[in-house]
Amino acid sequence: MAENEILVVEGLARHFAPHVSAIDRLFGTKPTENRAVDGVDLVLHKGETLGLVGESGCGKSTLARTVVGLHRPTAGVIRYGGEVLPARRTRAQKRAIQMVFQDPYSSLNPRMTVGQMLSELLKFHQLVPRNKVRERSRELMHLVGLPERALGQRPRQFSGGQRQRVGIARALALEPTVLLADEPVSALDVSVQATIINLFADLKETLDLSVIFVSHNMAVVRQICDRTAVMYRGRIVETGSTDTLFDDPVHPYTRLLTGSVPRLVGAEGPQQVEVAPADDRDAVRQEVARAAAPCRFADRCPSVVAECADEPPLLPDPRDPTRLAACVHVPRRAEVARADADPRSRP
Amino acid sequence: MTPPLLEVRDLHVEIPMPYGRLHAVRGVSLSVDTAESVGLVGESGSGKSLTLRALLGLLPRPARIVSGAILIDGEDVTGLPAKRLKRRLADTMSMVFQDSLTALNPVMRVGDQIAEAPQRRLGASRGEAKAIAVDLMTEVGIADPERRYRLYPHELSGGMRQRICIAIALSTKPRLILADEPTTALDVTIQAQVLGVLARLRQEEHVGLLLVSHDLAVVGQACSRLYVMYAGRVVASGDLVDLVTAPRHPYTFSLLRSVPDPDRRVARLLSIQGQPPDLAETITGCSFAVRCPFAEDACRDWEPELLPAGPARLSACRRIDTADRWTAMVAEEVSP
Repeated sequence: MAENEILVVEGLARHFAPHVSAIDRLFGTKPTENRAVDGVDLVLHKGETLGLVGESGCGKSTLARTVVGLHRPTAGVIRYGGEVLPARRTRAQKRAIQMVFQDPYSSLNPRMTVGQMLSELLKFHQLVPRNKVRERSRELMHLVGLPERALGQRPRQFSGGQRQRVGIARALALEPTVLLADEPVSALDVSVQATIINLFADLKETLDLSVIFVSHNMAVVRQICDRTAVMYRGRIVETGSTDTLFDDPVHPYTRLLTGSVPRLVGAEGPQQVEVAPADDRDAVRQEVARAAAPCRFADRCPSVVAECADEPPLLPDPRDPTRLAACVHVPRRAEVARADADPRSRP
Repeated sequence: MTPPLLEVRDLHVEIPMPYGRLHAVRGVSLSVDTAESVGLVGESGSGKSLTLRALLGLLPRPARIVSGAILIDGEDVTGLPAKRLKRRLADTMSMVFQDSLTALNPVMRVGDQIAEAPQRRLGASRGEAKAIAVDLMTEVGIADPERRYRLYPHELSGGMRQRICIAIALSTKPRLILADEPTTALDVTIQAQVLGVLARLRQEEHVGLLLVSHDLAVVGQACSRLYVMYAGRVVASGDLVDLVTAPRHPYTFSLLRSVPDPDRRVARLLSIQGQPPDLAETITGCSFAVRCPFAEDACRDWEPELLPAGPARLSACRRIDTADRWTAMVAEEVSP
């Protein structure tokens, strides 16, 4: 294991058992299991911000919640600092990985003041001596840019942006090394969004945090993430440095995603709106759909080929091995000559 | 010169509250030409949605129009008797809402919901109305419309439902579609498709678009002209490209620097300090002055009015003349 890998996720899966209704029982039908996260490999390096993007329902939030320990994994392991996290985490392990939620209003106790909330945490985890709790709380307020009097206020007395700051202070109170942020700016107004994005950037610097930033907003991810992972139907389909992933996407889904982002000026429309597949592709597509485990994107993919019948693993891009993409076309991105010589090259 | 398709003059909307009146829309004037796409941007609480709803008489209770005029083809329709006014407005404009699941009737087949207006309003027979509905479904990009005609809203995805809503809006043959955050609840790939449908309707069928959104990029993608709203007022208006490349109002200026760009990373986003004013209170002077990076003391006493800021551009800022230096002024402040 490389030294700077703080969090490693291997083959992680989280399936949700279906609700079997009386009608299902009557007819003996078996409702399908919801495979929200279905075999994810992911690495988070020390001090980096990793963006996790994908459409709603792709499993990005479930992945984040499983890593934090809110869901028990169905399969796979999560390694933190080289050690596999057990099903029941120790207090220190729980503290090390913390989460910031999308909606700060529903994730904060409405009946507690911020001060009470923080002192409860600090005392329970015995992070500071009892006589220093007050001082530490004030420090946390400074850290997230709130006035000290905020300690005496309850969640509803804050604006959306301030409330998100409280949510961040709550997570930081436990002195985590890894922070999972699940759509932390999605519920905020645009002008407030910027202040929270800047806060994340500052905290990363001052506290040397490693952050997994879950978002559906591609522009926000571009602004603050060092690396980005694209998720589609429970799997990671592409990872790489944010700039290269946005400027030169490899996987067809990433291309669709980056091409669909609305642009203020300059773009004459989405570069790649889902094209109606050509007829010859249609036959291939149907063939692929009949396979046991086809590529998950095959039914929408404009460049589907017969090989897509086998779901490809994450393959390194021959031109830049730090980039991975789960697409049969990836090995062909090397020089044309090599691809011609061995068109089916796959590890 | 032909009058604009739709013109709004000095619209005021108030919401009575237990503790007084909330003056939500404070004198908005705007116009939309035939087959034009116009955007109305602002943060939540800026009055953009209420302005749009007021145009069709769809204000949520107890909000009401206090004063203002609505002109269609240059004719003031405000004075018409209630029933004729409603008819006139509904014949010209249709609305598409943000949440398609609540906008549709959950116990009625989506096709029948589209066919309803042609049957009732245009006097089509059942068969004709159904044919119109199927045509409209094809037009908004729904594949296999005959089968989908018979589905219920919950059986369709969010993007499909929003297309159904657009088809319903089109079923009365409007000349203008009012869209209130039509893509906010959708995934980015689906958003692109829905925006594509609206753009095609405008180009091919000359259906105009008045789009309300908090998302500058969405409005930028879909519209050619913009109105920027702040605290119940239009603070800037003009051609999209002009407005974006050379903003002439500090709010537009700050907003543009506070949203991340999907194509490039900036060193630091500009954060607008403070919060929008409470609209239940009387605001004296420029409402943005307290948050404005360029405000002077005099701004707090200056009663804002829209001033010309270039060809076909307006800006409610008394310091327009300093606009060319704003970038430099902010740069000094950001780098400590």
